[in-house]
Amino acid sequence: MEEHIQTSRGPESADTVVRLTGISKFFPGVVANDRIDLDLRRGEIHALLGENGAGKTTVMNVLYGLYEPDAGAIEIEGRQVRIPSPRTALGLGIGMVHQHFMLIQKFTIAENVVLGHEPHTRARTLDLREARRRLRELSDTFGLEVDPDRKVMEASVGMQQRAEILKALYAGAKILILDEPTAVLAPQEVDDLFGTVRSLTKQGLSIFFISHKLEEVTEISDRVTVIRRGRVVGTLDTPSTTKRELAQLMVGRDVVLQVEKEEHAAGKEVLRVEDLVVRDQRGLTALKGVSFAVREGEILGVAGVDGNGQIELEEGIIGLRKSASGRILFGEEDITSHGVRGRIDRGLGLVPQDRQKRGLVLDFDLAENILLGNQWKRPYARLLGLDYDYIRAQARSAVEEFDVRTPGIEVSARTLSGGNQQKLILAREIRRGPRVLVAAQPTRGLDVGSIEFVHSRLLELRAKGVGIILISYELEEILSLADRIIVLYEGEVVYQVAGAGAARETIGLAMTGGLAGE
Amino acid sequence: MPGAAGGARRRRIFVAAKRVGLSLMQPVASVIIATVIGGVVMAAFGFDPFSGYAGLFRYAFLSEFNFTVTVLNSIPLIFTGLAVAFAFRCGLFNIGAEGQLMVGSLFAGWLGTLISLPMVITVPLLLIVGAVTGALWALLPGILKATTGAHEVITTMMMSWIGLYLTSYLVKNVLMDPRTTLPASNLISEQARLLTLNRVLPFLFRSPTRLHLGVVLAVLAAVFIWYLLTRTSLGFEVRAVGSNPFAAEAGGVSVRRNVIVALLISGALAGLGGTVEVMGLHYRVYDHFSAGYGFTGITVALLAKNHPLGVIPAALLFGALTNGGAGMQLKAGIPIDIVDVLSGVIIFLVAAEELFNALKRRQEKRSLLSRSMGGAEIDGRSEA
Repeated sequence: MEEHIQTSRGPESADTVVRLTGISKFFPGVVANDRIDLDLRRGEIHALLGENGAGKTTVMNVLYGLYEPDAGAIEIEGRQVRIPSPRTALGLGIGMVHQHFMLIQKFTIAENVVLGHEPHTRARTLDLREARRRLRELSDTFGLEVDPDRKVMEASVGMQQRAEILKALYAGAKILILDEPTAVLAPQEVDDLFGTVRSLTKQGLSIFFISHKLEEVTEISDRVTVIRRGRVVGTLDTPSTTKRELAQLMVGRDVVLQVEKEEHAAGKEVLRVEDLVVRDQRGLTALKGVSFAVREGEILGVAGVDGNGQIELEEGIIGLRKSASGRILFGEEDITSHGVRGRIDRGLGLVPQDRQKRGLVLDFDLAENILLGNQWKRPYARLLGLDYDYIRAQARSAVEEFDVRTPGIEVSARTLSGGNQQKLILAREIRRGPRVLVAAQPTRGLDVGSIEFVHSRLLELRAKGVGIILISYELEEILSLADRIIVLYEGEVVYQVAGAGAARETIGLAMTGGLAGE
Repeated sequence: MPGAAGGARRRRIFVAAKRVGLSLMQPVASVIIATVIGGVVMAAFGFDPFSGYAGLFRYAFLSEFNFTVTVLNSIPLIFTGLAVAFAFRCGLFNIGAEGQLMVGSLFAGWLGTLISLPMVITVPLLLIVGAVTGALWALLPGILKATTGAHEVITTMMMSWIGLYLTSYLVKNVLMDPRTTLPASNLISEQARLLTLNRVLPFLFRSPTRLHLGVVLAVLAAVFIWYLLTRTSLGFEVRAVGSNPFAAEAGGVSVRRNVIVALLISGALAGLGGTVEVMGLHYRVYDHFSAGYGFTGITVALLAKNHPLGVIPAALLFGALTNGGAGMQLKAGIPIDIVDVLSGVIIFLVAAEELFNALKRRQEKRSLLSRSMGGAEIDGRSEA
């Protein structure tokens, strides 16, 4: 019924390692996969592109044995198989690296990698030396650098991901599924990952690469299959397609890839941070004397690689973390000693980085999530209890205004998709009418449509004179939105520049410490 | 548009009714299954389960006297059940309700032996004293939890034993009438007693009853706690802390303050439970008069799924089991221990049901993930 592009279905060849035919998967009220046909050739990188909720991960979970399909057939190396469990999948040489890692935090990387296939000594005790040796061998062969003896909790995200890949390889994977592997990585780590992925295919591995980012799909893949609403809308050879074409297939309409930003002069200063020092969870100084100011109607972009003090900055400004020293001025007023409530009352808002942990009470319904942060204020609160009629009315209009896709406001926030959860948080924070909004990673993990939505909302706020602190690990996002940019590196502002004159390379250098100490 | 508004309202009521129905299903099923298993146990030991249950039912419900005793039994359980349930909604496990109950009843009862002001002053005053002292007994665990993170399971339990031995000591050495051998305080004054229901509503009872106004207070407490939890910002904050303290904090909720407040209210409810027993039933403070009400309260809250209104039928059930069990032993010769088997199985099933729910939630989350792959967590850690 819809356009179905099939340009790259080559002749049947022995080089097809995976063939999925007519895979359908239903969940209550949802068709997650609708007769999906998909094949993977030996040594290729095949990208699965689609918006959040399109059904990319579902079909891969079917291949990995996490779901049994309701219809359709799976062929591996020309042989029809049934895959009832991940164990079976691993036996067939299929490995999967999930978006959220499944490593045991307190184990070392070597222990994690061999888990399930542990080498034994003669006395049947765990042979960790052998485990380490095999791990090193694997990591040399594939160029995946890890420290075998480091505990996962102490390893960087990139290293954890490499450990996950090694784990699949150790279990004998020939077919690797990578689910949004770049979502958690810093730009440099992404480059490393791409190098790794390419070297894996040179060693004969075949790779499914799930993503919703056009940029990386066009960069890394040989072929790309676009999935929309559970259906394959096209499989194309990557070199012979364009980003625009892919974007159109993906969302079914033209997408504006460039943010339209109106020029306007920023107003007076609303928030000033002076020599702010904040400690992290472990008591170490994570923010080492940061100073900056935000003006009305200005977007201040905070660039930097994950883990350089962003969380502490976010939580320090909103009052979730006490500052060890330094001052925070809101207008003329010193708010350093105020708690979260006092700062919300003065007009600070937060779109937290970790939206499921900090942003929402997942078991509460949408109305009560809209209430959160307003529960002490009139007219939400009255003398004798809360006004639930008013709260529900507010929630309904918030859901409508921010286009939160939900069957109603009485469902729990848990049932919303990631993008809709984010819209709910934005609705709450923006409708509160903040004078300063801290937006941390506001579009992380969202699909193109939702990203566009969030960006246009932020620009609307900017036009209304709200000061916005945009903390993001996506340099693109900062470059396209920010009026001024500061770069955080190891808890310090190492570089600042006006948004217009920003050179990507210099910022990249600053983010990786290339400018530190100058 | 009135039509649309009416529709939305009907829809909301329908959704609410469905939710109530669904949440009732599992506790009721637990009780039914427990009954069957209890029957099998009776049969296995050579007793006739049918006459056993008939006896239990008869002595729990069938006759004015039996029924009033059942209700009488359930009064303290409603209070302690509420105490445990309220703390639980804040994510806290108050297992020290027993001690809070004894301490509250001691100080209220003590005061009751000393003053004889008019009833309209004495009764509320004693209730307040009982609630406040019960709350104070939960204050230290609350402060410790809020400031140092000391686990309330340990601290409330420790405070509970301190409370039990303290009341025991005070009753035997300070309050006890030296001329008697009864380990109890003097009688509280007439004005400090809760009226029996046959004096308030004579037309309802054929004979004098020991059932007292405490039952009304218990039901009022349940309704009050329900309102507090679901309709006030205090309750909202307590629930938010219990459900996701991190998001609560970001929403301007002080986790520390709510932990302390929740334990105070929990302790106050337990203290009230003991006070009402003294003012309505015993008219004096006996050493160790509580028959484990604080601990049974945990079971009651569990069966009620921590819903304040669910606490009432759950408490009634356990009140009936103790009362009917005694009758069953007396008339059918079936040991009262079978009642422990029943409540044990009920606890087990309700707890297992939590497990079942956790599994179901995981399943739901997995199906959810297929719809929202980007942001949602990928579940299935155990499989990977």
